[in-house]
Order: sequence, then structure tokens, then C-alpha cells
Amino acid sequence: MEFQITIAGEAGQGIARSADLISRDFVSRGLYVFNYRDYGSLIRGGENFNLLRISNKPVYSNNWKSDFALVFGRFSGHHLKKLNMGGTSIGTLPGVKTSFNTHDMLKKIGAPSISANSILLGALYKAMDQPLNNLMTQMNVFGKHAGINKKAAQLGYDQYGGQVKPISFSKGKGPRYFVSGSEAVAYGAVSSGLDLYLAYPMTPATPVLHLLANLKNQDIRAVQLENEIGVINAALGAGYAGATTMIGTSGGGYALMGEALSLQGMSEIPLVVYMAMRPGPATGIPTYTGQGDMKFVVNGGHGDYSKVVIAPGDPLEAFERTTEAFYLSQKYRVLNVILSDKHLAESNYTFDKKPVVKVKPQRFLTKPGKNFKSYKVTADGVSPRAAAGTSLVRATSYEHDEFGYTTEDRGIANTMIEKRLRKARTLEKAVSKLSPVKTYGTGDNLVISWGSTKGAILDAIKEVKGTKFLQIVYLKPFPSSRVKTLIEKSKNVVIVENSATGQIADLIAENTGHSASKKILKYDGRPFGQKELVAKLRRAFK
Amino acid sequence: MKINMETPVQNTWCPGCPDFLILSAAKKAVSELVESKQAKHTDFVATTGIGCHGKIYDFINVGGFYGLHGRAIPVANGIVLGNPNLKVMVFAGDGDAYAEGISHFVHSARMNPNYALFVHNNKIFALTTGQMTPTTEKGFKGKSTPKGAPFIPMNPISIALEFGASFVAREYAVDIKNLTKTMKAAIKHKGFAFIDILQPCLSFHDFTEYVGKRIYRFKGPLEYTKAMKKAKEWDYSMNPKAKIPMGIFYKERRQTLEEAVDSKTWHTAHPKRKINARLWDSFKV
Repeated sequence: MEFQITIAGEAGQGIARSADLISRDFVSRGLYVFNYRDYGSLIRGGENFNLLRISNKPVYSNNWKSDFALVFGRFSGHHLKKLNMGGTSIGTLPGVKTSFNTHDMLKKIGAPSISANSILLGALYKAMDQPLNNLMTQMNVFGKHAGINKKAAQLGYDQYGGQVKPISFSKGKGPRYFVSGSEAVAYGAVSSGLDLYLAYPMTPATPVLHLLANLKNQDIRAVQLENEIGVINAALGAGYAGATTMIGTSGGGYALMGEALSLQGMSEIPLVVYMAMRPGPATGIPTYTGQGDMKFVVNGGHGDYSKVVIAPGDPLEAFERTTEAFYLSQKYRVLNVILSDKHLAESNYTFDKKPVVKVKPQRFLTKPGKNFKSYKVTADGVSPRAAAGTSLVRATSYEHDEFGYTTEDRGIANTMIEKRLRKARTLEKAVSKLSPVKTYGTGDNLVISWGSTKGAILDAIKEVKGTKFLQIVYLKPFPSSRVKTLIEKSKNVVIVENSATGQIADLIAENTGHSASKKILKYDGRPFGQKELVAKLRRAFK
Repeated sequence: MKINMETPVQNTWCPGCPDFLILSAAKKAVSELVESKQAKHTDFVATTGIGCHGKIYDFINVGGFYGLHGRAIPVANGIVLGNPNLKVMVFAGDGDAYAEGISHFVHSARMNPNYALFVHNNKIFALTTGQMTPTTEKGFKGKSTPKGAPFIPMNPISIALEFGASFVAREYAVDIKNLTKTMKAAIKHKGFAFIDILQPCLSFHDFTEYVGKRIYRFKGPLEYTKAMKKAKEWDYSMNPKAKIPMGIFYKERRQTLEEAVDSKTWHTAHPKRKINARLWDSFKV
């Protein structure tokens, strides 16, 4: 059993809220909902829409055609062409199968114009033959406005006289978790021992700032600072003072942070960066999705230094992998980037299980004596770290000796550079124990991808026989031998990426010597739809 | 008890550079505060940018963060957010704080983090061998401006006042007695305490004679509008008629950044944090 609902209207008409109410109702009844959110860079006016793909089996992606469409805005008529055979539409526009004069209906019950969506939601429940009470329960979230919205929903339900396409299913068992990538990163960070989150607003990273700033009952702080350069330098200052710190941004902000990313490499102060991509170059398409900043993030920062780049593929992984990011960053004094994108950050996924966390949050702070060596030369390249104020602790952007005093001596410079290089090997070993790649399905056909494309690929390969999916979770250090072996074992290899060039192919070539010539790419700011990807994979593996 | 303010690092400033005087004033301020038990030696932390001033990181025996050019201020903002009990001294240059790092300078004045900011103002980029900075006078002939600097200088004192700095002073490196006194006052002030320290560059921009003849001390701090008026007496040009007021222009007690966000010393407040499974449970529908 599977169906999809489109909810489209003008920004400010309660589109996202309507999608959330329906989602939560079906999820509470044990179904799996994937909620795709499409919005422009505007606050009022213009078009927003959500796509809710709903199934009794797990779904991690949307399609581009729906079975039901709620259409209320001036700009949303095009959704009427994106209905499956036998699909139905409800709304306020001419051309919809069942049209409502919401203005007059609301006037009759004395409801504000913002409640128009509630009328249409009521009608939708009738069209799906679903108990209206379920929707009413979800409407309690409106608080003192719940009553009037329930009234409006009842009116829509009662007056709907169009086609009824009953949705029938048996209630699913067990708990269901409905979560976005932003929520998973934010809460994952808190679970990893976060003290401070510093940021400057930038879509699509901003929801994490909002979530953490509004988080209650957790002793953490989220602070908005003057700009991205201020943010990252302050984060390193806070880390020097002993705080566990994360910062968040998107591509443009990450570019501004570039110089201080390299400062992290030299100063070896732990730092976690949440980097949520959108299509570039420059301002690009700010509220849409893309994976085109990957090579920039993997290679960013001047000079040779070790870093970790982790790309979770869904919110469950985002929660789990965020804990790894903090652990590795604190233990090995490295930069750790959690690479996400708008699609993962702002889509809601349904899970029936809890994250499995493999590492414990720890500060890895030592109690220093006098004459503390911040940059002690060690066999594994990792120097013990102490918080400022517990001794005369030094941190520096210059090449330095073990104490952190500036040096230009070539012998000491070599020793310190080699110390930092040894850390890269230590990191590789640590990461190899954290499932840096994951595989799904079996067959001679191999799909290689990373990040938020995971959802559409998992949903698509079920319909493409003999296909295995290799998800590369750790982009740096790159799990070369695992990737190499899998490529060599497969007959056909295809790259899937939400970018114009398929950057993962370059990373694979650099690390394994294998070039992947077949690529399925999408770079219009939209994620892959499930059926769309099925068709593209079938063509690629023909 | 006497504390050791010396480091083993060889000093590489030009002989006779007034930076030596700023260094000795800072050492004196710190050791007096520690020896009179007003602060612990390990509480002191210096952040620096890049430029001649930044070398002070290697020459003063306190904790230190040798940051990037222009970024000594945001690093310090992070330090006080991470541990509000540290005594932070921010050493910056004029190119550093007023060119590359101007956004941090003005916004930190608003945010009012609790630290002392000492700007070594030689009105020149010295470590890059003599180019104009934002406080260089119009007409200055340097390597990048052979026909003379084309722009008017900025006035960091009035800008700091405009942006809400809660302690604003100007000192002259050569007057080490007053410099030490004001540095101590700045360290003790709760909030963003800024001193623009005039520090002629003997190699590339020696304005010793100009400043030496024109400075005078006034009794501060002043009420805000009077402080602003006093700040505008000298516009950082080489106007032969100018008088240069020295001292504390303005001082007020205002909520600090750390107070505003209720920050704390995180690693002692929460030595061990735990994975909180309930957080995932909050996504349960």
C-alpha cells in the first residue's frame, strides 16, 4: 500500500503545517511517511509545496506525481498535471476536481483566512476515507486556535462531494520516529556532549541554530555571532578554553571560514562543522538541494593537514554519525565536517528504530602540569590536550615547537609536520572501525553514492534486479580498500550524485585508481524521485 | 610571590621598538595583579593576530592563542564563551583590528565580551615592510602608495564609542607608567576594554616627534557626549595644529556577552556528558 499527497499553496498559507499534521497522523498509525519540502527564497507570496509519500513499508524518498493534491495558491495550478491516473485534486483554483469557496465558508463560521487549509484538509480526509478524528487530534497542536480549525475541517469534510479513494491499511506495530536531518544533527550533537553551537544564519543550515537556541532542559548554548569568520574563530577560542563546540553553515559561509579551517589544522583544537549544502556556485539556488560542494569540503583549507568528512545519508545515520564526529574530533584534535544538504536537512523521514551509538562522548582533556606541552610529539601523532587556564596552555597558527612557541627551525618544522601526518594514519585506523562504507542489496550492478541520495537509491534498487548499493559514509579519510574491492567485484558501476559533475568519481579515482565513467547526475536543485531513479538505473544497467 | 613573566624565546622586534614598552607594561600589569592576589597566573590568556604585535605571544609567559591576521578578537570572544573566568588580553595591530578584523572590532564593542583589547597602533603594516593601514594619514608615501596614501584615516576611538565599547582609552607606548596603569584598569574592567596604544614604527613610520609634541592628558572617564567630543579632537591625521588627548575617554558597566548568554566554564560544569537517549525519543510520534 502506497500513495502520495501534494500540498501546494502560497508561502504563509500553512502548507508545511498541513503536511506535518497529515504526516504525524499516518506515522502515529504505524505507517511510514516521507515528507519532501519545496520552497523558494521568500517569506510571503510565491509557491511552496510538500510531497508526502506514505506507505506501509519504509520509504525514504518522494515521487513527482501524487494521488491526492490539495492546491490552494494562485501559483499552484501546475500540480494538477502531476497527478497519477485516477488521482484527485481539491482546492480553491479553477481546474481542481473539487473546488471550495473557502472565503465564504470561513466567513460563515467566523474563522480567519489562515484556516482555509483546515477546510481542505477536512475534505482530503473524506476523499481518503480516513477518520476525521485523527486529524482533529493532530490539530490540538494549534492550542487556543485548535477549536476554530477543527470546525473548519469538519465543514470541509461534510461538504466534500467528490471522488472518494479509500486508503485502507492495517495499523503498523512498534514505535515510529518522525525526524528531519536538521533535528537529528542538532539532537545528535547534544547527545555527543555539545556545550556551544555558534552560527551565522544561512539556509539550509539555519534550522539547527533555531532548534538548539530553543532547546529546553539541556545545558547548552546556541549563539549567533557577527559573521562566519567570527563564528569559526570564536569556536576555536571556545575549544581552546575547553568547550565542546560545533558550528554550522552552508557553502558560502564555509568558504568564508576557509582560512580558519586551516587554523584548526595547525592549532589542533577540536572542531565539528555542520555543513549543509545547497546548489552553487555563489548564491546559487539557496533553498534547494545539491551535493556540489563535496570536493571543496574534502579539499578545503590551505596547507597539508588531516580532517574528517562524514556524509550521513538519512536522519537516523545523521544522529549516529554526529556522535562519531564529536568523538573523533575531541580524541584526535581534528576538524570534523558533518556534510549534509537541504534534502536531508529539511525532509522528514520515518524510522521504526533508535540510533545505535558506537562511541561515548568524552572531553579527552588532560590535567596538565607545569611547562605543559600542547604539541607533544607522540608515536600516533596525537598530543594530549588541556583546557586553557589549567596551565599556561598555548595554541597557535604558526609552526611551533612542542610547547607551542613559534619556530622557523627546519628540523622542528619537519618533526611537527610529520607528527601531524602520523595523526592521519591514526585516524584512518580509527575510522576503519566505524563502518565507513555501507552496502545494501546484492548483484553485479553497483551503484555508488554518498549523502542524501541514499533514500532514493534504497527505494529504487528494490525495483532494479541484481543491484547493490555502496554508500560511502566517510569521504575523508577515504575507505579506499573497501571501495576498490567492491568496484573490482562488480560488472557494472554507476555513480549517482546530486551534482553537475559527479564529484565522487574523482575522489574514487584519486583513492583507488578506478575511473567510473557512468554517472547519473541531477543538478536542478531537486532530489532524485524514486521512479525517476528506477528508470535511470535501468537505462544505465541495460 | 614573584612570578616568572619571561619566556625562553629570543625577541625579534627591531631594536628600540616601542613594542618592547608595551610588552613590559603588560608583564608588569599581569605580575602586579597576580602578586597582589587579584588574579591567578594561569587565568591569564593572551590572544594575538598576525603582525609585529603578534610576536608578543612568544615573549610573555601567559597562556596564549596566536591566531590569524585580524582574528585575535573573535578568538577571544570564543574563549570567554568557553570559560568566562579567564582573564583575556587581546593584542592586535592597527592593520589587524582596523582593516582585516574591523567587523569583529565593531561588533564586539556592541557585544561587550569581558576582555582587554590592546591595539598596537603604529599606523602602518610593518611586518610586511611598510604599507598604509586604516589609521595611516592621507599622503603617507609607502611602498604600495608611492604617490601618497589616497584615503583619510579612521578614528578608532570615536568608532569604538559609537559601537558601544564600555571602556575606551588611548595611551602612548613611550609613557609606560600611564600605559601600565590603564592596562591594569582595562583588565579589571568588566566588559570590552579597548586601548588604542600609539606605537611609532622606527623602521617604517616614525611619528615619535609628532605625537610627543602634541599629547596631553585629561581627567577621565568622561560622560558619553563629552567623551565623543574629546575623541574627535584628533582625527589620526598629521595635522600640525592638532592636540592629542590621552587617557580613559569612557567607561560604563554594562551586561557582558558572557552574562547575556549565561555562559560558563563548560569542562568543569559538565566534566562528563552522557548520551541522552531521550532526545531521540522526542521524535516519537
